[in-house]
Amino acid sequence: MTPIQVSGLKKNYGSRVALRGIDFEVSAGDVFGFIGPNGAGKSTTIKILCGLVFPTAGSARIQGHPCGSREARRGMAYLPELPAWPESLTLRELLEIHARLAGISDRRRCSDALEQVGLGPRANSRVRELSKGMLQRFGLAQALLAEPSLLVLDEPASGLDPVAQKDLKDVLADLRARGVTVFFSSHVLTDVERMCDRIAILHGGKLLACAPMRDMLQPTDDLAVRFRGGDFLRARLEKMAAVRSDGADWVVDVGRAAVNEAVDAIRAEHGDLLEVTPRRRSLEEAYFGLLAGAEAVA
Amino acid sequence: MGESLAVARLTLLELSRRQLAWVTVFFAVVLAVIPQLIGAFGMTGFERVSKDACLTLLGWFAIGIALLLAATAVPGDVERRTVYPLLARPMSRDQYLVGKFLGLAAWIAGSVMLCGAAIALGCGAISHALEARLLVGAALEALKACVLAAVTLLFATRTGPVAAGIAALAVYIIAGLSDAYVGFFLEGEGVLSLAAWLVRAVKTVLPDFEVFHLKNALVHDEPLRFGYLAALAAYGLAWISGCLLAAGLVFGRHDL
Repeated sequence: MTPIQVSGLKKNYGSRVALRGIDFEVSAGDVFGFIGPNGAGKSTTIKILCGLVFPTAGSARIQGHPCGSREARRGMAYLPELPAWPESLTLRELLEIHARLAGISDRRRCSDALEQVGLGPRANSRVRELSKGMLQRFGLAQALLAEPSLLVLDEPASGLDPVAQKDLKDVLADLRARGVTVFFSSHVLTDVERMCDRIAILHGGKLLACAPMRDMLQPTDDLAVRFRGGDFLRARLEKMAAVRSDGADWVVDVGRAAVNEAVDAIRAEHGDLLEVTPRRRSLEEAYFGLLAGAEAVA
Repeated sequence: MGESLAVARLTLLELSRRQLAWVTVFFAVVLAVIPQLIGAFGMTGFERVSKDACLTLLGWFAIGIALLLAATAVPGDVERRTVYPLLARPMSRDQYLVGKFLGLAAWIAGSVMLCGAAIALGCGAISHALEARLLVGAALEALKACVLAAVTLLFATRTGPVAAGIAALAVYIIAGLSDAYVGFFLEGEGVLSLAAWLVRAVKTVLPDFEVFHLKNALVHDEPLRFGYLAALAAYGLAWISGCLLAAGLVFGRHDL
């Protein structure tokens, strides 16, 4: 059963058009990234998937069931952007209520879910005592409580510090290894590039692209020359193309015609040539290229 | 039903940790003390005066908390976005509304009964006899407040808390207008007579909140018949069910 199937989905809020008829599918076990600028319609799509907003036209199905139906929500979990919780309740109380709503009778699942996101020792803390990062982790705990086969996350990295972002990535990697389908929207393109199998790019309520990540990151005609060397070598190569740092290494992207010249320069300046590989387009380049194309058409 | 009870528990836990709990306790203490204060004047019939004053205050208190809590319950959850994770669970919006109402109703009933018990204790202290009938009166005040809470919840599923509160208060006031008042304020011809006709017509489709107010019977020691009380309970529950059904229809297709 296809975890998410969206077909001709349209949504109008009064006279404002939020979605102009989008189609995409998410396969089982995929980590699917949903990206686009603010106001593109990402959150609206996610809310429709979760049954919080009703589509004007088209259909969205979760595991074959219409969105918003109880069956559709049975195997899925949702973490909204900047999730809010009743502040006076403790984490344990809230999770117990969510467990009951999810039909879980085993109370140990609550403790396990809190342990999974590193909040075990804070089980009796009230929501108001938690930091932003902890709140997001708690949101993840409530989402993972019912061991869903589909996890829908709206900007999960929003407002998180680097440590919390890394924790989030670790949890998502773990879910991916367990075969959980993850659908998430994000503005952090490097994370999307690293974690996703497929992505969809949304702009102005239209789907600009929906493809496997490897198709989005097509090789270009350029070659990436990775090397180590001193400032003099770097200055010499800067005359050919922009040199960027990558950890302890330097990388220069040159056309096929200039690659021998670059390699000769590295040898002549006693630098270490580490590798020469076809350069792939980054997600950022693909994203901005598509957005620029869409804006030019508009 | 389990889902509704979980939402009811969540609502009750939230309410029990608000300052409102202390306000209720303070009000109950005030109600318990009022008969002593009135008794201190030594006037004839001070027991009846005490009961009258306390039951009037209890009625206002019940209306106040019903309007305040029910008007803010659903719009508050939507505004704070705490409703999103709840409604993403395999639970219908009807179950959420029923749970929300049950939590509110339990809180309102508990608060009003606490105040009713304080009145019974206060009056019992001056008459040296505990009057259980006062608790029956308090229970019907609680039921009246629950009906008003259901009406408010119906408005609150579509509007903000202020508009819902005002609309529900308007319903309460119009429903409570006696024919004499309508005739007095809207006496005349043309527009006034049309307005009077309209108010009377609207009144017929609104719940009659006055029937729950047993103050006169309690003050004047009139008998309370079980059949009448049961009919009142059924009347109240019917109105609550109707309002929740309508609220479910409105909220069921509402974008969040």
